[in-house]
Amino acid sequence: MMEEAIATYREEAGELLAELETSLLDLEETPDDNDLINRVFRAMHTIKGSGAMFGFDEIASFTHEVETVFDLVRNGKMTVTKRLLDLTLKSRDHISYLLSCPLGEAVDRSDGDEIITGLRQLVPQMDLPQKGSSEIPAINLPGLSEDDLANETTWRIRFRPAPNILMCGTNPISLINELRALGTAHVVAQFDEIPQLNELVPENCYIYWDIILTTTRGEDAIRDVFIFVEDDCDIKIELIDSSGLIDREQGYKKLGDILVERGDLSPVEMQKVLMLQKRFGELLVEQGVVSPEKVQSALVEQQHVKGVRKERSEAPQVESAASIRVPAERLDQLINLVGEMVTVQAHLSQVSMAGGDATFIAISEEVERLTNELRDTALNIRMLPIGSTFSKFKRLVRDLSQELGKQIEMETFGAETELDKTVIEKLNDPLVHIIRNCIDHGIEMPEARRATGKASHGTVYLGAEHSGDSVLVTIRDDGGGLDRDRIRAKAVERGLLSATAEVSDKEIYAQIFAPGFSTAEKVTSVSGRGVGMDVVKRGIDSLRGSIGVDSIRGAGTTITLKIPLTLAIIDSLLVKIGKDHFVLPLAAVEECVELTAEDVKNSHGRNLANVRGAIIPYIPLREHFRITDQRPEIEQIVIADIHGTKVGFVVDHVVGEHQTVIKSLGKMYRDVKGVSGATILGDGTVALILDMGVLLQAVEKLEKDIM
Amino acid sequence: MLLNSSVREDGEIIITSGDQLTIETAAEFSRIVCEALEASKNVAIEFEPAVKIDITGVQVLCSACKSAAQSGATFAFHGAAPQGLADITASSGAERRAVCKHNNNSTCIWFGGAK
Repeated sequence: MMEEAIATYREEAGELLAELETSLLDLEETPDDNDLINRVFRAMHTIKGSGAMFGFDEIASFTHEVETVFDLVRNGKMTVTKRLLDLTLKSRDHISYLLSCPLGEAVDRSDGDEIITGLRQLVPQMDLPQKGSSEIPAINLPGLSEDDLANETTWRIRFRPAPNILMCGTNPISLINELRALGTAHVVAQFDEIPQLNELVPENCYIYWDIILTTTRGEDAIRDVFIFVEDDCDIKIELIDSSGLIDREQGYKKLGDILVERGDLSPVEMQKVLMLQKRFGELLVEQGVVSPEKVQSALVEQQHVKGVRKERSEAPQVESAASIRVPAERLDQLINLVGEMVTVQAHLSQVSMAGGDATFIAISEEVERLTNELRDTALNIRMLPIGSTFSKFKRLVRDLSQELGKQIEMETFGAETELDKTVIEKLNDPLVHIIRNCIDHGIEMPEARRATGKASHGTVYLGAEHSGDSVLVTIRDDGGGLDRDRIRAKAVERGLLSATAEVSDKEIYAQIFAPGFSTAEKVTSVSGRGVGMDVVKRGIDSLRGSIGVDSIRGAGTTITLKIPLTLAIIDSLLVKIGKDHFVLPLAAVEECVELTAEDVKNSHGRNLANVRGAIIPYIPLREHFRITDQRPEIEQIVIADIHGTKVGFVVDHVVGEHQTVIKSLGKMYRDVKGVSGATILGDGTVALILDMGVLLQAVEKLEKDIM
Repeated sequence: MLLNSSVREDGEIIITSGDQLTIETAAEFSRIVCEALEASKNVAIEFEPAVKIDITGVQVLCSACKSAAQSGATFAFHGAAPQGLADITASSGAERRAVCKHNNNSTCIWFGGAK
């Protein structure tokens, strides 16, 4: 259990570090943004507090130093400077390193010490703890200013830990101390659920706590304290006092009102006891309706709030996010099960249709509807905004441009565009390579840019947008653009292109994805070995995506990645050739037209069809896959739009739309061109999924041969 | 001193705390107290002055107190309350300012007592 908790901490701290990095990079652009400063502080504070709780003392003590500096920034005693941001970004990297170290083993403190020294120099007057101290110093929050007092709020917190919290290695008192660090707290441990010895499981936690906390930090800070236990523990946080809620009475609620509000006493019971007209708390205990401990806890709240009401005025109430954390493996398992269900449902539909029983067909259609909804919902659960990866690229641009002496900024758009989690993960490497190339080869040095009349600052744009069942990820720079002639010459030199061939710009630019292809005169630490773009191509191919390159000499290059939304299930068109079924991704399919034997004869073997006056080239898949049995009298052309080109695929029959659960082919089939995977049909047979883009390349070659 | 128990001539059972009443010793502590309360109507703890006590120790003490009250036995401690008990009482918010209904509405001798 402890290992599980530590793994969760590592995972969540990783997310906080990503958030921290984004905030720091944004802060570089708007150094006065208080929200960002607070986000940095909160991320540091949570990493520190939870780190201490799970035994990551190195992280806790190091993060405390950085947090202390940002506390000064937060309180207006320091300003955000480039040096501070540099050091804080380095701190983020160091925390990431500490996080990766096995717990309890010695770590390399040299980077951390250097960062702390740098921070001390920024704040010479600061009373920071000694370097390398393993003690976790208490947070030295500065005295409350008038503004702080105005933002003070008082919260009633009931913290009921999971029974196994102690066995998981979490000490509830650490959490309570975290709360105490947020402001003024009164803590009452409740013992009424501790059983007698014969029922006691000594390692379980039976105690729960009532905490009355007055703080300037708001609900988020309180929730942050419980960030690693909130899923398992019962935590109730209620705002009980702020300027917005003040009823302008000098005192506070009556004891009975507090107990009713807490749910410890019913209004009826209160009225009954009030009739006796004695001291209410005593009466409650005498009557046995409320335990002395609960009365004590309510009295503590009453006294606490009475005390703080004299000093503070208002505070915001922040809504908490209603979300739960689920391991990715469980989602994968869910998608697999949904995939199996889609397959079974296809079988059910097939059997019901064959049987012809109207009731059975109706049930089958209802199952189909529910399965589709289940499929969409399950796939949506895995969707993440692509923006979650953008921050790391901002950091890449920042660090690399500094290293190369260039002035480059990154602009992003479409961060909210959602993609399957696996797709986002697999996009990382290709994007790193493309952006590194933009920075190293694309954007010129500042003086070179000025010489050509450009701003000395270059810009790399990274964006995403939906396009049908795909997402277009665009990486654009305003650098020098690709050198068409040089790429062509290099391609000819390497035998990739014929010296006399007439080729389009698009084909020439596509050469940059060839393995080992590079026009760079020298290899730098960043790029130039001709490896990167090959990796990009393979990475995008593995995602069933495609790459488009466009470039204007002197103005920049645009690389567009077209990526499917999901790798699991697609809508497709099921077709048949001979006895075999094939699947075509439906998103690219435009229409189906008949192809008669006479049409074939009229095309004189050139595989061109006249569709309402437009000449469409087509691939006879029967020939492509060497299927030899009897050709039907009338065939079907499935016309698809692939990267703006219309192309037909000739099949015997179009069976209809199909939910295709994608299964990858074995290693033996890895090099088979034009097939991207397979699927299992309702009757258990296998259908190949066709890669229309690759098949199109064959058509383009065919066209050239004809001409 | 180890966590242990012994019987006096007058039948009182004395439990010595050892140097920690924490999650590591909670099961053993609970078992010893339970057996003591079954064997005698008079059970007391002798704390090691530097004993370290955590939440599980607090729970066993409270649970034992409830069990003793239920069976009409006494459950107390000899000598001064150790600093460890004061520390855990303060840090956990365990201080009782009221009488304890589980202990026949008597004051709580373990966690601060009634004021």
